[in-house]
Amino acid sequence: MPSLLPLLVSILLVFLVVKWVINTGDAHPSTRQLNESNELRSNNRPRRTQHQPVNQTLVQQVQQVAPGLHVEQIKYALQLNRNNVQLVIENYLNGRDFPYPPGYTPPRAANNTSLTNNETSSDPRKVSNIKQDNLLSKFNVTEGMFEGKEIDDPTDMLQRKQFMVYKAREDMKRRLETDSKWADLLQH
Amino acid sequence: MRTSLNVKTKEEPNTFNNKMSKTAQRRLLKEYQQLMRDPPPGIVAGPKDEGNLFLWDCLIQGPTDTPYEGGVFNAQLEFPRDYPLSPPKLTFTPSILHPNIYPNGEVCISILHAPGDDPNMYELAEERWSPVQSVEKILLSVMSMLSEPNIESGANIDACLLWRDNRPEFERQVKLNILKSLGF
Repeated sequence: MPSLLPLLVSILLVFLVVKWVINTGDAHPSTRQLNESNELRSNNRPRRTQHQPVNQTLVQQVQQVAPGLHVEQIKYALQLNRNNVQLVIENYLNGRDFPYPPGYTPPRAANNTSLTNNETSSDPRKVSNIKQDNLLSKFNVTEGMFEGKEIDDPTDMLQRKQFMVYKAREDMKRRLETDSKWADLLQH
Repeated sequence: MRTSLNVKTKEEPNTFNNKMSKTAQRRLLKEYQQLMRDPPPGIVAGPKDEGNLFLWDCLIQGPTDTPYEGGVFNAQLEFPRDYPLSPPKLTFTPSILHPNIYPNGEVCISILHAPGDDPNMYELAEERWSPVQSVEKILLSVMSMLSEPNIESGANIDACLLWRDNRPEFERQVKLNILKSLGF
């Protein structure tokens, strides 16, 4: 009986020692992290991610889903989202804005929508030529040139074109007087 | 009379390509004369300059009851040397906002695609280009394309989205360009 007590005590001691070792082993990294200067840590982390170089393969992964985005837009979004491709793609699919990095000027005019941004370089058909025409100067149409007249030579291509433009302008003049929807367009 | 078109081909060697090109010229001249005699309403089309039958300049009136109503649109037809085996290319100059017109002005409709190349993989063979089609049929197809855009086979994604999601803004942009083109 008396030999049992020291045995139990030593077992208990061993147990406590083992438990302490395990506990400190577990707690060690986290407590050290917690004990580190909080200020330093919170200042450090975002700064580090901002300067973190963005991997080209990550950019390509995003590009596959969002071909319309500029590389700089994708890089900046990845930087802001700590290289989380999934999150960036989700943002894109949710229609979020993808700003350019501060201080970076987009290569093209601002009225170009992001949808056509990147494809333009590869497909010439995507280069926009949608702009205002001036048919009057293009075909030398002058005010009143067909006043009370019809085309005198139906085989004259230029004359037929001039007549078509002239007539369209005359019709539009009348339309503008009667149709407020058209007239409103010129107000803005 | 401007129908007599003098085409300079005498100095060129008599190759296979040259024969092909002569076939094309004969055919284009015939089509041009036909269009002169019996012009479809709302369309003026013919060679841009009389020495070159392979480049045509066209004016197309916007069809009524469409956003393009009241407008006149300028387009160019470029014919290949092996016309009518291959279709011409039709480009609006400048381009117009339309789901089936590429931003650069190129028109994307089935009649302008040869049976061999079907970029959309769904067009019916009889709708596509074949030598029995003609310039007149192309221009009439363009008129119906203006009336009924097909956003299933879009050429201008932005125009498709605008057409589908914000029709008033689509019409506003088209109409504003019409007004400007007519000098208002």
